[in-house]
Amino acid sequence: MRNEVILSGFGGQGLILAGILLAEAAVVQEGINATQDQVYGIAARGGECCSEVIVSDDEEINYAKVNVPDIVLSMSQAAFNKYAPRVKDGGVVIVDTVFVEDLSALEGRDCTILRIPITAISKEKTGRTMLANVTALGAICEYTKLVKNDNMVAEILTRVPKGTEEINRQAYWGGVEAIRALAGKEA
Amino acid sequence: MSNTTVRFMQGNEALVEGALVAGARFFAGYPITPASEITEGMSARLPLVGGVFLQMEDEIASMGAAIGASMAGAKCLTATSGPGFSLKQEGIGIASMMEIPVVIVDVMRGGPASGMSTLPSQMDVMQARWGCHGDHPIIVLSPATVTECYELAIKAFNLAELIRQPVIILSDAIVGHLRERIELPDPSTVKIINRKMTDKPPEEYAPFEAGEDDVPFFAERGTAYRYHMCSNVHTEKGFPADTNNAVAAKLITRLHRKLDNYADEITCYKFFGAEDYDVLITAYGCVTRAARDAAKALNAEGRKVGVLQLQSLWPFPKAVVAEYAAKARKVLMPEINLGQLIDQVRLATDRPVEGLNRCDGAEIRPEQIIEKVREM
Repeated sequence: MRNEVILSGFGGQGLILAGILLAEAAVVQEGINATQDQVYGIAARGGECCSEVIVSDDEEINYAKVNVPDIVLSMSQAAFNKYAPRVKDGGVVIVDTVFVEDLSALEGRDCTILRIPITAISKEKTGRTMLANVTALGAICEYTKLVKNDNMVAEILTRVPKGTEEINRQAYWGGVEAIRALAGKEA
Repeated sequence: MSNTTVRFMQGNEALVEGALVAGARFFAGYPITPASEITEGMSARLPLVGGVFLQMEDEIASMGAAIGASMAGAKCLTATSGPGFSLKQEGIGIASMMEIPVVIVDVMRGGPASGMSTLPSQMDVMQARWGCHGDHPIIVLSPATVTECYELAIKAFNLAELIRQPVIILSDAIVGHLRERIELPDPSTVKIINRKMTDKPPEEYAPFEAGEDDVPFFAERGTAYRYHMCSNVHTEKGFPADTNNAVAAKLITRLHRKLDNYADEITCYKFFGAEDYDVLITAYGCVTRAARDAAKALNAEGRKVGVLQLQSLWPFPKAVVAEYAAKARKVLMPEINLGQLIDQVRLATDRPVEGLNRCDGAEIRPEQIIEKVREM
């Protein structure tokens, strides 16, 4: 099964790193195939940013550009407007409601929209908005099961500065809990 | 059984790993997108292995520094993209003429000029062959995956040392920046070739007297061996003889014969797809990835398509292409340029060869190749 993911937002949110971590966890921790690439433009903090990940547990990945993503993470309104409409029919769009208010770009589309205050959860759990990318990974992995939560956390901990392990765990599980809470509401 | 390590790595990072395993201990360069991660990686890693990293004032100086350090005995790397590659050409010619092992990476971006700095292309293929003046030999290798960045970096250093020859790695913005799975072998299991040293005493040594394979021997610097090097046509002693027809003919033909002698070691390629192919796609670099997906999809629907990936581009593997093309009804050559290597394919075969090209800074997608093959 091949899954294509777009993580989009603005520069500085750590989405390139989040994409690398997601794919790296799939390769190193789960032993399956994954690639990561990014739309590499003349961008800076605050500018538009997009990280592309492909995860495949049964086949090699050759062409590695994401055209029709199964999963889109939108962490800014501009990124939502640009990338969310590309989602596959029946796919899922995870939006950070702190930055994305207007969902009209997806009006009439057959897809699941998960509205989560990702950046607010990061702030609440860790006192910082900086770990919103880790919270987003928690939400993505809990919902999609692309990478098991324990494996994702293990991979994140290989990359974070010493002394920040606990807040990274908190940020991650905050994202997981948000998805579980949504599932609870639906049920 | 040897141990391997699974890593998740970028093409440019893997190239750095390969260069270090091959023994690179000197890097001189000037950062440029999309090659900067090679410069960055070497700056972080070389000091840890006792190597030297120099950021020079420009690409001309970088090339000169790499040549100088190689003459002094180090295995040297420099890396750039199109605009910098243009500036390095003079130095590449010097390295070719003075038989100095050096590896030059060009991570291709869109051109001409400063072009499209962050977007991929394959527009430097002919420049890699003929960018510097004169009848010079050159070796050019082109990776399509992160693993090949690692493997071809090692191969480039081995060939450079074996043949005393500049070797170019022609990567591209896609392969350079893509991250994917790589299985790194235990470095102790990797075959490394070092330059041949003379066994003659200093008084009998001539720096450009070649062995049976047409490759001259090095002598250790800073010892009793006298060494003169000159980028003019030169004698075996290394002194100018640029009005001597016989010396010129002997030197320049030997420079090319060296590569002929090692053609088997240089030539590398891969085949994917249906063995009984009707259409053969010849590809190199990032386009190989789209070609493989296209062939897979076409073969699944009953078409018979094969992909010949050229990893060594120069000297052009004419015999290989001829052999593979002979089994096809038609050949397709997709390239992210307006058609550069396609002429070499046409020279190698009498089969009809069609191109699929783009020059807008975007990749060739599998769907484009599928559509084209269906028309063929």
